[in-house]
Amino acid sequence: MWLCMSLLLWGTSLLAPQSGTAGLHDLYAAAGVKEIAEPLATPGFALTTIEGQTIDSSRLRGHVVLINFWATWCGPCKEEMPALKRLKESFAGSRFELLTITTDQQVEGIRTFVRALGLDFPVLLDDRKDVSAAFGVRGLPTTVLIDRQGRLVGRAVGPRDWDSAESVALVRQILEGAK
Amino acid sequence: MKLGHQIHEANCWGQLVSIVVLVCLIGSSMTEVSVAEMADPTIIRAAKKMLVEGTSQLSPPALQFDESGTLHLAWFEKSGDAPTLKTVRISDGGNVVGDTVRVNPVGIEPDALHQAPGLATGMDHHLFLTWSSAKKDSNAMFAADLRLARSTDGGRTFDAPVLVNDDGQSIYHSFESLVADRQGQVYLAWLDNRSKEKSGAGARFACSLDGGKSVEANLTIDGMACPCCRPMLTLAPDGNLWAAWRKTFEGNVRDIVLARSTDQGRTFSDPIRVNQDGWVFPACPHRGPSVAFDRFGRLYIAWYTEGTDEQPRLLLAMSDDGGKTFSTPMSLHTSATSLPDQLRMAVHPDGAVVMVWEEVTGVRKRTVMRVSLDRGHTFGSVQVLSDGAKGETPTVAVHPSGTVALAWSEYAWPNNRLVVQMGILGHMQSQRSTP
Repeated sequence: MWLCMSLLLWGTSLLAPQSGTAGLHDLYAAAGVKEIAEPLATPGFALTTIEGQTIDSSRLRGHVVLINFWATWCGPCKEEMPALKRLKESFAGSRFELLTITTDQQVEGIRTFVRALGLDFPVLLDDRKDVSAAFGVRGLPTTVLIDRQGRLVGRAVGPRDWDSAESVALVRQILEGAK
Repeated sequence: MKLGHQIHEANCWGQLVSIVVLVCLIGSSMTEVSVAEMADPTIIRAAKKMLVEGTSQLSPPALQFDESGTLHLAWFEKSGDAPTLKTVRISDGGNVVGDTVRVNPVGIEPDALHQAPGLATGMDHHLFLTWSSAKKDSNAMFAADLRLARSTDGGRTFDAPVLVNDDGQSIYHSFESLVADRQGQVYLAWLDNRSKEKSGAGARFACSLDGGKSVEANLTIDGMACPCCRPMLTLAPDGNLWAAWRKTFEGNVRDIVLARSTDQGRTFSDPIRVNQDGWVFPACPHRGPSVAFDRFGRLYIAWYTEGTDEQPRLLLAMSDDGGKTFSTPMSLHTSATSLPDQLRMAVHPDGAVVMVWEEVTGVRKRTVMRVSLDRGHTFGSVQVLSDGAKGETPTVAVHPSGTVALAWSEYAWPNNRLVVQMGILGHMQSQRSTP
């Protein structure tokens, strides 16, 4: 059923935005994030982190959530990690959560990578690829933005400058409930 | 993991598919034609065999026939800390012959499971396997070297692997393909980013002139290849070597190209674009092309693209003039209720074309096949290969005798499986008995 939802989300993402403020539209465009015209509830999931902790998506409700899908064999994915780290730091203490999800099975290598880069966000293991499929991930990196109501509002395929002023402003706007 | 367990034929596809998906899939702006469909069955298939099953993590399978008709299956398997590369021989009847053989030595383990090992068969019982193994460097993470191991006894034992990449850099060398010719040369192509400071990769090439004992200097075929799409090598009947890969064009357009070498890999032509798909994708599709020839010299190339309208499709084009021109691409996946993915193709010397891929709907992923017995003009209907709700990463090999081998991965909680199914091309059935 997750995949069904993801296909629905993907199809919806093809439609042009029809609502929201002009300023927010501009921020999506400036950040290189595709605004999803009619946000839908995101598929629920419960995945284990590389540290063995289970994260249930239902506990993220009320937060703006950025989920980054990546793999160790994907060069562009690794290159954008430091920018994601800085984005997370920009919102320390706020209701912003940043998660990454990987179908990779190199757990020890990922741990080393996380330590080396000082990444302080969870890396969730999706070894069955179910959650990636549920979010319609067809290439890496793919990043989705979820608003405080648990709705998928933005999607970016490919690496982005996540710590750019535009990306930070976009997250701030979503966090402040501009939409 | 246990071997030789036979699958019971039991399809349980009964789930409904979201109609909403249709909305996303209907319509196309690309220049392509639908495949004409044949009515008759094209492959007579034997029972499926579950050759590997257990809770270990498994990579996609690799398959190749050797000249005698023995099938070789290879895969990565991880049950403890480090994956291992394994191979097994399979008889014409689909039965395992001998023991499963571990290929990689301790300390040179495969670094990942996301793709099948590289596998090629050569003359005189030679078998070649490739994999990436982690390079220990405290200053570089996920660095991996590309390794080549050869067997001279039909896959029973393997020599110590040799290093393929010659750059000495602590970077990722992977996404390889290899093929062996009848003179004992082994050709390898892969991706690495030795000349890049950021994203992107180069398509590299190397040759072994001594049957896999050593590898010559590396050559760059293309400095701007798509960084995660596996290239593929094949040999034409005239002996020319062809490489196919997904190139990164200006504006992050990721279309398929070919290059030909007429001098056994010393030089390659400039890339030849197969079709102007115009797929802009600034990321890692992880979907390489599949290329093969028949004995008349027809080139078949199949690939995944989303074109300019973000609609996943599988295309097949052919060339009868050495890549100067290509036929209008045919769309192989015609279902409006599913998405296609992970295409693989094998071509019989007489021109039978066997295509396998994943078909994804809202409730399941399964492996399917279509076959052409007339050099790609018409194709039979889609035939479902896998059981259960999660069949993926199919692959196919065809022997000149007409024997076809199909393999794919399945997951049925709590087990992962590798399934193999043998068959015979329908028009060759009269020449031999059913497997």
